Amino acid sequence: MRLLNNKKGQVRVIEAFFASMLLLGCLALIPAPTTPKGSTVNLVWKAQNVLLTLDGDGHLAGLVDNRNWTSIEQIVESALPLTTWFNLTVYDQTQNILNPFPISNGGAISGNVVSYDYVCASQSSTFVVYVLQLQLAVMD
Amino acid sequence: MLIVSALIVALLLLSTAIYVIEVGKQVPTVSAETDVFFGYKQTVRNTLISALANVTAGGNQAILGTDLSELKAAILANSYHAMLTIDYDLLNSSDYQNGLWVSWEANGFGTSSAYSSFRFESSSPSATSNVEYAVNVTSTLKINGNYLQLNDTVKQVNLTINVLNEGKAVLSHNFIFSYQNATDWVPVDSPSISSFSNGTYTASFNSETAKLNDPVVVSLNCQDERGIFVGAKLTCTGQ
Repeated sequence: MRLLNNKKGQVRVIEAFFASMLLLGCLALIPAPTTPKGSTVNLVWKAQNVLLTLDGDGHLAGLVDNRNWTSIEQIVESALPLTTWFNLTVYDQTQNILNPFPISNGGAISGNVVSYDYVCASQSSTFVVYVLQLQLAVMD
Repeated sequence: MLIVSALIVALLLLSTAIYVIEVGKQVPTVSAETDVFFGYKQTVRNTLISALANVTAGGNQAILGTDLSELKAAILANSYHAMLTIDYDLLNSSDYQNGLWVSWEANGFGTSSAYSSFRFESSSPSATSNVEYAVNVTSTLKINGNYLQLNDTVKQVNLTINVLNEGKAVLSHNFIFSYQNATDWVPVDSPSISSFSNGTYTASFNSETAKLNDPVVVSLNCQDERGIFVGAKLTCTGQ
């Protein structure tokens, strides 16, 4: 009987209920971060970053000079997320394809493919310019 | 009281979340042309290295201008998104001629260097941007040492060698030593070279000169890991 008449305890419970509702409401109001996954802009930026980083000390140009296609495939693959499809084509100045086999991590895909061209110069005493075309897509 | 505390906590949570989201928006996510221009800095550097490697191996002194012209044509041909303008100036000063400075001195100090400034301009319907920067590639060789008189005519030359790229110590190879005997330069067949793995080397070899206590003039050419040759001469005196 005394317990039922204790109004102060009931007010505390209601106060706690409203406080928790307030906190939950606040959490619900926080907007989810919008990352443009798979968007064209993001993929072009990623392709550009990969090529610029790999050629940071002229390493990529050196691998192309030595026609070391396997190493190029490995470093590009290691620089990209597993869910990203890539296909790299290396051209000389007259637009002839230099790589004898596709430098890629899989077959054709149906998603949105972006392409980025990077002009790369050789450090060897015989000057050569290469055009590296990196195509990227996000695999479903 | 509890509701007021919850309200404060809620406000703190909200403000933190908004701050994190606003900071996240400042991360560059668009491939602006300026990023590409700075990206081409490595390509430009490679071009300067290639030209310097060519010239120091006995190539054409005007090769840098030719190579940069070729690079410019390739970049312009592969730019589809904007109208590009690329200008470059090869440094001409008391030391540099056509952007190149190759000075292999007789005081034990040698420099092979290339320097050019660049200006990129891009205009597209959405934006216009321009970027300017200079690229300098310099390989430096420093040698010092002396000789130890072994007998009347034979002297053991001991050298300490430092190779630098843009002022930073680097590894090197293809060391070619020779010394002056009267008016002839005598190549050294099998010098003893030790590397300290930090761009510093020591070398020793025997030389034959006609007179006792004559100084020994030595010449060293070497190639850094970028393929650029650099050389220097040094007059060694007795210990």
